Amino acid sequence: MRWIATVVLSLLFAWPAHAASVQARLIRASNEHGKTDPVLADISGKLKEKFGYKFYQQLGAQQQPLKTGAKLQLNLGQNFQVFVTPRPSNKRQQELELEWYSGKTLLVRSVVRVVENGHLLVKGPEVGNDWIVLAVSVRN
Amino acid sequence: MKSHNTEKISALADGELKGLSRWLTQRHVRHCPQCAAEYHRVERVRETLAACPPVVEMSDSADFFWSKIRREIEMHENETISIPMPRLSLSDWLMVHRGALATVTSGLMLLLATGVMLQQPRLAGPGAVMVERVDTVIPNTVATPLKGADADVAVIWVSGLEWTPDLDQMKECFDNLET
Amino acid sequence: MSARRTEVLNNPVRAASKRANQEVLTALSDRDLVERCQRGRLEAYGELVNRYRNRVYALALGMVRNEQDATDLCQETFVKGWQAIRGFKKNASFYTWLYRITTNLCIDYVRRRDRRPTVEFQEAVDPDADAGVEVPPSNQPLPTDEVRRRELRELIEAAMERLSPEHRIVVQLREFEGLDYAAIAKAVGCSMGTVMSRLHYARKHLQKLLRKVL
Repeated sequence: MRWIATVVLSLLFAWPAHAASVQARLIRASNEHGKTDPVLADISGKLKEKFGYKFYQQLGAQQQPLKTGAKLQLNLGQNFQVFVTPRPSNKRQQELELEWYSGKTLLVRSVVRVVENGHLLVKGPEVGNDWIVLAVSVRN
Repeated sequence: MKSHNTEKISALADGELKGLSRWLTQRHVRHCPQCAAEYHRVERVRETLAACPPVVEMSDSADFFWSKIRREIEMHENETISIPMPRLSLSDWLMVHRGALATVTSGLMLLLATGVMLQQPRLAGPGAVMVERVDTVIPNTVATPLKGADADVAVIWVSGLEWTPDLDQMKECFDNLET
Repeated sequence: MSARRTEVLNNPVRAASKRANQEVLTALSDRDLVERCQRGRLEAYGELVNRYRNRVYALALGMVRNEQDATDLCQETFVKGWQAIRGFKKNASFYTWLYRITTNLCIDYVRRRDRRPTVEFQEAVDPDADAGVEVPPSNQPLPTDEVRRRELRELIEAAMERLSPEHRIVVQLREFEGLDYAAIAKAVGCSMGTVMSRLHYARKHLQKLLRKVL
């Protein structure tokens, strides 16, 4: 009976980070290039709302499973990387330490708490009239 | 039984006690001579009354009795009255149906637990995505978490970010991207 | 054909038809009969009266101890039952509802009739003062079983009469009608705890009144 209770309690309370993964996407926000990538359909509304640009293109993306304490490197192309270190979490929010690099330059460092299907959007460097945006989310 | 609850002894003799209450009362009666004697006295009264049930039959025949009632009903043909339906109080109802209630409650709790287990966490309340800390080491650059109405989106605004050699390379890539 | 001959020919048909109708009603459940009553079918109510008249009469007689009064109360119960039948909820028990009517009528009647205060059970009552029971002296010939039973019944009835109406009714319903506590609570309109308490104290009283024969 006790082992059943242990299993049930573990399922109820354990953060599914061990089955969860983090996805990072590098996005170009522009008013000039004519269309938004279909792969960004889930966040294009949010992007338009937050940043005001009409069109969004995904420049690169990577997804890796989360392992508490293990630093993950997500290569997004264009010489951008994101380093993600999941911190121990026992609630439904996953705490992540993020470092966004452009080449060897650390652009921004942050600690965020993210829930499944929630998004962190980082307005990054300007390139001409366009912006580079980083989108990070946790998925199951 | 905490004390000699003789009312419960009467109910035990009637077979009206159930579950733990019955077990406890039976146990007490087995060990308490006073209550055991009371139990036997109650049994004796019940047996005596059962041995001499009242022999009762109405002197009116069935047809005659019905004819009297029918006549009276017809005399008060359009009269109606309201008599409340006999029902148990809530506490009595719960006591009588506790077996079924326990089954239903257990079933509901099991369903609830299963539902919680199977359900994907969908926390979208206030502060669902939160920026705990943000900084940037680049001089003259400011990184600010922005607050918005959306709980499931957090924004970090980095301003003053200047070109870096790497960004120059990226600009070139942009220029080469097909529209 | 003469009218008289027509009538003679018709009577067996009518009698057979009546018997057939009665057989149909006898086969119906209380619930089906109540449904018919609610649609105004008086003959269906006649079947219900036939089913329960002796039980209602026994309950009334046990309370009022007078045959004519018990018959009148029984009649009044059924008349009120018909007048209230449209409000009867079909899922409920018809006889519990009928008992409720009977109980209320009997208790009201007994309270109105009795001039002397009813004997409520009290711990402080001197048990000897309650003794209304007499046992035949031992030098008399042993009574037959039937005589003995009759005497015992009379003693029981006398002892029951000394109970208050509220205590008497629960003993009637439990010991002679065989209802459980829940049904008694519904019939009397009190909680099951009250039924348990009244039964217990009624039995204690009967123990004292009948101690010489118990």
